[in-house]
Amino acid sequence: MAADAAKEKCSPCNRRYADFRLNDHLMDCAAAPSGLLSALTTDRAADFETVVQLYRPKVFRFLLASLRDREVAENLTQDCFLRAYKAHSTFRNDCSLNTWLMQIAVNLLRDHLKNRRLQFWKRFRHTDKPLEEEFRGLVADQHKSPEAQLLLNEQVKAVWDAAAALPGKQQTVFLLRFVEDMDVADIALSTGLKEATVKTHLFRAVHSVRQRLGVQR
Amino acid sequence: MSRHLSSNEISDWILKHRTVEAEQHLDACADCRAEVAAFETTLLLFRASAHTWTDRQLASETQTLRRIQQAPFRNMVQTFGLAAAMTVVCVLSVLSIRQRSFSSAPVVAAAAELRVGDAALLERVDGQISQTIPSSLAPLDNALSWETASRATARR
Repeated sequence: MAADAAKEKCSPCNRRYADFRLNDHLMDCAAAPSGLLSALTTDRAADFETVVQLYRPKVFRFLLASLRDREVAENLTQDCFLRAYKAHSTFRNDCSLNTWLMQIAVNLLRDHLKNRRLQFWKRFRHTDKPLEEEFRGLVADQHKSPEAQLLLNEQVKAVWDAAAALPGKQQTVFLLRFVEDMDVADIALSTGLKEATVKTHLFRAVHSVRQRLGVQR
Repeated sequence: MSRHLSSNEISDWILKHRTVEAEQHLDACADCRAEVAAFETTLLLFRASAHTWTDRQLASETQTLRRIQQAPFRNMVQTFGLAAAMTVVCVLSVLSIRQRSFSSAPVVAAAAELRVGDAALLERVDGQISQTIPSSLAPLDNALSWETASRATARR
């Protein structure tokens, strides 16, 4: 791998890192991922495994946050990498590998949500199994008092609820921005929306979340 | 800017659409600064919770996968263990049967001897029984034979 040679420098982007971690860097490096995918031509299976190891948690996290259903999120994550493997020759290097994979994930998510029959089961599952237990203890800060900890948990839970109640596109851009920390340009590429549209969706989503949190001005 | 930042302006600030006026106001207004900081903190915690949740799910998935991967090995160990136990049981039972047959041989011989002795004794008893009536009981025998002879004569 190009970034591995100097140990503290990534060759594609020529950046130096005090605490160099190749995997973490490759997630964000705009130059390296294209090389990573083009390497698939030499040893496809082994290199694709590297791609999966690097990006699977991100794709799974986005889908899990969107659907709140582990099983479906796992299935869609697998579908995402299957599609990526089949279509890797069509990857044109005009965006990062992360953005490309997120694009596939967003399309899969959209297709899944279009299925009305599954919508019924999704609603059924959500009413059947409350998610309070899932979110309990996700935010842990030992320096906070139990009351402050409880308040923080309530606020985070409120953001989850607000995000779940957002319309489809708003929810997707909100999660890509605030869970995956993607910028507007990458979100636009992943969702196929214009940057101005992404900004509008983001603004409305943040406004809705603030309202849900009870912030009034 | 004398008034506080509106909800829209705070949303804009969070989304990095920042104006000089908003920046100047935040420098001067502790209330707005606190509100922006609180919302940013909540969003960071939301992000952290999503990461923690995913990590937990992936960790449990890894454990499940490990269990599944270890299952054939565990099954193999169980199978070999069962086979070894059955072999030991078979060997032990064969040994015990052999030992029992070895230990029962003298008993069988003694029983055969006893049977031969019994047969000889019975033969002796039969011989004595089938002998002629002893001389001490001869008068009684004669009397009985006389009575039966006279009764036969009278009937005639």
